[in-house]
Amino acid sequence: MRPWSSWLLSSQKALSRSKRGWWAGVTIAVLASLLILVGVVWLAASVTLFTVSSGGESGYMTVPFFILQLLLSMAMIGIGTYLVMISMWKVSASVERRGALISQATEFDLLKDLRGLREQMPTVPTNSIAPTQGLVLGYRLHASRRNLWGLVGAAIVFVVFVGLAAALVIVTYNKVSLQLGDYSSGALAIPFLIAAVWSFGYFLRQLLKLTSIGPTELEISDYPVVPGKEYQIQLSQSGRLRIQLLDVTLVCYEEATFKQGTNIRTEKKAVYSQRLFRRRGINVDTNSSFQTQFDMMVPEGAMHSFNSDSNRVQWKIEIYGQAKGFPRVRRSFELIVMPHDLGPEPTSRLRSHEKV
Amino acid sequence: MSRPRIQINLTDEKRVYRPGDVLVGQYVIDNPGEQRIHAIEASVIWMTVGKGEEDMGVHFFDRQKGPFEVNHWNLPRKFSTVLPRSPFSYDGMMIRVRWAVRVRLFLEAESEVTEELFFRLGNVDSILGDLSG
Repeated sequence: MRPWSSWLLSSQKALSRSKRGWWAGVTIAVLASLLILVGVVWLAASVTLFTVSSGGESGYMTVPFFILQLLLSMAMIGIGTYLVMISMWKVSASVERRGALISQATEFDLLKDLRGLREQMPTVPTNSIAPTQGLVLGYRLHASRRNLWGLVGAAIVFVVFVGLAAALVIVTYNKVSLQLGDYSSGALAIPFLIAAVWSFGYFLRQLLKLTSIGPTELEISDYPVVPGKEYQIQLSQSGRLRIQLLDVTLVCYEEATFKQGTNIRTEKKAVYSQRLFRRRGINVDTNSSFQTQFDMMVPEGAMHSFNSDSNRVQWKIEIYGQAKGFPRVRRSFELIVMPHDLGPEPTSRLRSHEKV
Repeated sequence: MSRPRIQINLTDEKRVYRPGDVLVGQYVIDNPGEQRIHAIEASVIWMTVGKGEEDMGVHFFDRQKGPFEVNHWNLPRKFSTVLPRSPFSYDGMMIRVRWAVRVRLFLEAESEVTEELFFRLGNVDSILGDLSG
C-alpha cells in the first residue's frame, strides 16, 4: 500500500494537479495564519508574564529568558508574515510577470505619455498603478490593491485582539494560581477572546478570499480610453480551481465627499454599468490559464474620468469571481477615459488668457 | 439704496462650446447709483454642484482695481479666452460640473455684487442609459 503522501501527490484521479496546487496554497495560508496566531499569543504571554513577575516578588522570568521568548515569538510572527506575503505574491502576479520583474525586464511606462495629457487636463486623473506593455494586446492594466489593504487591516485587528486576549488570560491565570480572588480580568477577557476568535476567522477568510482565485490579467488594445471607440479586451485568469462564475462589467461611478455634522462622508454611486463578459463553470489549471477576448466601448457622449478635491467620476472594469466554497471575489481595474473631443492642439493657449 | 447690476453677454450667443473654442464676451455695469466700486473681477470658472463639497477651478481671471470714474462705469468691458480640454460640463446623479463667466463687483462697505452666466463645455450626455448591463 502506498503511503498517503504519495497517493495525495501522484493520484491524478483522486486529486488533480490544480487541486494539489490549490490545497498547497490553502495549507500555506492556514499554516501562516496559525504561526502568526501562536506568535502573537506567545509574545503577549511573555510580555504579560514578564511585567507581572517583575512587579511581584516571585521573579520566575529572568531577563535573558524573556528576551529569548521575545525573539522566538517575533520570529514566528515574521515567518508567518513572510509566508503570507509569498502566498499573496504568487496569486497576485502571473508567472510571466514574476519572471519579468525578477529579471528586471524593462516595462513600458505609459505614465510618460499620460504626464503630458495631465498637464493639459489637470482634472482628468492618471492611473494610480500605471499600465504596462501587454503580451497579447497593447497595454496591460493592473488591479486595484484595495483588497490587499483589507487584508493588512484584518491582520492588524487580529494581532491587537489576540494580543489583548492572551494578556488578559495570562493575568487571570496568574491571579487564579495565586488565589487572589479577583477575577475581573477574567470577565474582561471573555469579550476579547470572542473578538480574537472572530478576528482570526476574519483574517483567514480575507486571506483565502485573496488566494482562492488566482491572478486576473486584463489587457486592452489601446489606452487611454476614448468614448465611442471600440476596444478589445484580453482576459487571462490563472488559478487553481474550478471557477463557478466569472463576470466582467464596465462601470462608471460618481463619488462625492461631503461634510455631515462633524464627520466627513464619501458616497459612491454606480451611474452606468454594462456587462462585457459572463461565463459559468470555468476550469482553470496551473498549467493553462483561461483566456478570452471581448469588445468594450465606453458610450459615445459619456463623461470622461474626472477628479477634483471632493468629487470624482471613475470608470472601472470590475471582475467578479465565484469559486466553490469561497466568498465572491471582486477585482477592479481602473480605466482612464479621456474627453471624447479634445479640440485642436493647445499651441498658443497661454496667450489666450490675455484680456482683449 | 440701489445696487449696481451686471449684464454679461457672450458674443456668439451660443451656450455649448468645444475645447479650443474662443469664448468672447463682455459685461456692462448698470445702475451704479451712488456707490463706489473698489474693484471688478471677471473670471471664467468651472465648479462642481451636487452632493459633494463644491470644487472650483479658475481658467481665466482678470481684476481691475478702482476707483472708477462714474462716466466709465457703463462702458462695456470685454474678455476673451480659449477654452480648455477639460473638464466637460456634466449633469450626473450626484455630481454636476458647470462652467460660468463670473463677474464680481467690490463695493464700499465691504459688500459685493456677483453675476454669473453659465455655458457648456463639451457635449456630454446627462444620462447614459439604465444600469441593467
